[in-house]
This record gives sequence, structure tokens and C-alpha cells, in this order.
Amino acid sequence: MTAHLSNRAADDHAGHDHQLIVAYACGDLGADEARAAVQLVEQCRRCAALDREIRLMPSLAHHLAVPSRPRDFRLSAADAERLRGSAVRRLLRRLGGPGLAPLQPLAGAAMAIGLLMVVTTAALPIFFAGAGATAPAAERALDAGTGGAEGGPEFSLAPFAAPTEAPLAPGADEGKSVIDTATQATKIEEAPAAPAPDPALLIGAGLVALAGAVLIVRAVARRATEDPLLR
Amino acid sequence: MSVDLEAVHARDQGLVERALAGDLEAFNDLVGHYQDFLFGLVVRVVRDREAAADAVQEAFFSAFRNLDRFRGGSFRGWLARIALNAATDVLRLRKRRPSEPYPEWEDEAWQPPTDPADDPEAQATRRARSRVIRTAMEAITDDQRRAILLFDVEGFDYQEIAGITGVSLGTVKSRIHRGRLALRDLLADQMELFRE
Repeated sequence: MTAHLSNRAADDHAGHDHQLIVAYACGDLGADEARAAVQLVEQCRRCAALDREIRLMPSLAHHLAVPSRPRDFRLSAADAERLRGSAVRRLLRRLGGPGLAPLQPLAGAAMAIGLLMVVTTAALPIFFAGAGATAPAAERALDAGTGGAEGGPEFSLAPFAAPTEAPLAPGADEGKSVIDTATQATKIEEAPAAPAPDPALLIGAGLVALAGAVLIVRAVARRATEDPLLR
Repeated sequence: MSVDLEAVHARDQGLVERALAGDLEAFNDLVGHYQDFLFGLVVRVVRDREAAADAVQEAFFSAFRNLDRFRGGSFRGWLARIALNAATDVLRLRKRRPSEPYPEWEDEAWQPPTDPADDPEAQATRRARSRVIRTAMEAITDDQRRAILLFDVEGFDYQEIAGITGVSLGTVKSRIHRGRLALRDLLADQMELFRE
């Protein structure tokens, strides 16, 4: 009968949450879980033993003997000199070191602002203007074509060129043609030969280049001086 | 933070600043304060005196090179992290080269120091305890052993251990719980040895 009860107790203990008892013994449980653990400890003799022995563990580790230190680890002047490295290495360490760390977010922000400026001043107008932006170019091409003797068939391909094309149709008088030629000359003179770049575009591109250079130099310097023991 | 701990941090910070200004003696003062602690920690992890000594030396070299990367706080914890990384490298190397001789557990260097006041029986008990614990510590996982050494022997708290080992607080607790449970199971037949 006693053996039967003992076996039953052992079976019960096997089903108990041992990790809960361990966490309880280590003092790492909240109030609710601690209550559950206390209940187990009070009701199960083997859980109580587990609790007692786990509490004993921290003191046992102190019985582990440690061999004496075989040498002194102080650095010699030669060690220090060697570890400081060459001038290039020191420069790389400085560039990649924490002293210049604030540059990194600044460079990131400058890169973002620069890209935004480049996009808004250069790319977006082209994107949004679409065919409208190509019309003046087509018009300029059309105007340049009127001076030539065989410009006729090309003009008919561009619908927006029709009003200009009409006076040039066969049968038009020479005077009009001269006037048109004169107008064309005027138009050519008005068209800018080389458009001046937008200042915002220049500033944006400059920011991107500068920030990119800072980020690349930091990354290279950090990589070159990375210490695997600081992982 | 206790007053003692604050004083230690202030002392270390002062030495770090002097060392950063080029004062080698200041750095060597730091080495003097922490070399026993660091060697004791690493040798328990790698279980080989010479390999531990090499790892500790590398750790101090690395600390010297990277002193400007120390962000304040516990210098002891920062050193422990570097040294445990060096210990990890030693263990990896050993796994890659299994032919490396394994430490002699019965080496006299691993025996507890003898106290002249102890009778022979007490000395024998102490040696037996050390041997049993060493064997049990050998049987648990590296991660559990580190966590237990840092917590139970070196006195770091959970948060510090999480910082040193680079894992979450929950993982630290779990390693300590499982490690203690494993040790308890391994020592189950020999608990009498530890009862005073």
C-alpha cells in the first residue's frame, strides 16, 4: 500500500511543472505564478525537495576551484605602440569611431533632403508635364523645319503644328513666307541655347554627393577597423 | 546602484579618460583591477589555462584598441563581454580542431587552495566538491554555464548578463533556470557532499 502511494506521488511529481518550481526558487515569478508554485511545494514532497536544492545551486558554483592566473596581462610600452597602429590606421579609427558618429544621421538627413531637391526640381516636372512638356520641343523642331525646302511632309505629322503649317501651304504668297521666316528667326533667337541649371538642383546634387561621401568614408573606416571581439 | 559600485564606476571612468589621453599606466591600472576576475571567468568557460590566458590577453588588447568605444557604465561588464567573445573564439577553434588536447581535469592547478587550518578530511571534501561541480558544469551547455557563472559566481544581474551576452532578459533567465535544473539533476546523487 505504501509503495503504491509512493509510486503515485512520483507519477504526480513527474507531471508537475518543474520549470515553475525552478523559477520560483530563483525568485523570478509574479504573484499569481508564485501562488501556483507555493501550492505545488506545499503539496508535493518532491517539488519541495526540488525547490530546496535549486536554492542551494548558487552556493555550489562557488566550490568550483579556479587555477591561478599564469601571467600578468599589463601592457608594455611596445604593446601599446603596436596596438595604436600606423597613422593611417589611427586616422581610419578616428573616422570610423564614435567621435564622428553624429555625422551619420546628419549625412542621412542631408542625403534625404538632397534627393528630395533633385527629384522635385528635375524629375517631377518631366514626370508631370508629360506630353505637354514635349510640345514646345516639337514646336521648335517644327519652326526650324519651315526654313527648309522639303519640310512639308514632316509638319503634317504633328497635329499641334497645323495652324503654323496652313500659311505655308502651296499657293501662299511670298510676303507671308518672308514674314514667317522672319518670325522663325525671332523665335530661334528667343530660344535659350543652353538652359541654366536650377540652383535647387545643384544644391540637392551637392548634398547627395557630400552625404554619400561621408557615409561611404565612415562605412569603409568602420569596416577597416572593426574588432570581432566587440561584436 | 550601491555607493561602492558608483565609486568603482567613477574610478574606472577616470582611468579610462586618462588612458584615452595616452596614459598607459592608467590602462594598466584597469588591467590590474580586472585581470584576476577576467581570467577566472574565462578559464571556467574554456577550461584550459593557457587558452584562457591567451583569450584574456586578447581581450585586454582589444579593450586598449577600442577604449574610445566604451560608452560608460560598467567597465567590468564591458571587459567581460569582450573576454567572453574571445572565449567563444577559443571554443570555436577547439571544435574545428578536435585533436587539440583537452584540459587535464585532475591538473593540480585546478585544485582548490589548501588552508593550513584544514584537517586532511576537510581538504579532501573540498577537493571532492570542486571535482564534482567541475564535472557537472562541464556537462551543461556553454550558454547555461556562462549565464550561471556570470550570475552565481561573478554577481552580475540579469540585465547586465543580457548586455554582456547579447541576448534578451528572458533568455538569460531561461538559461539560468535550465542550467540550475540540469546541475541539480547531475548532482542529485552527490548532494550529501554539499551539506555541511
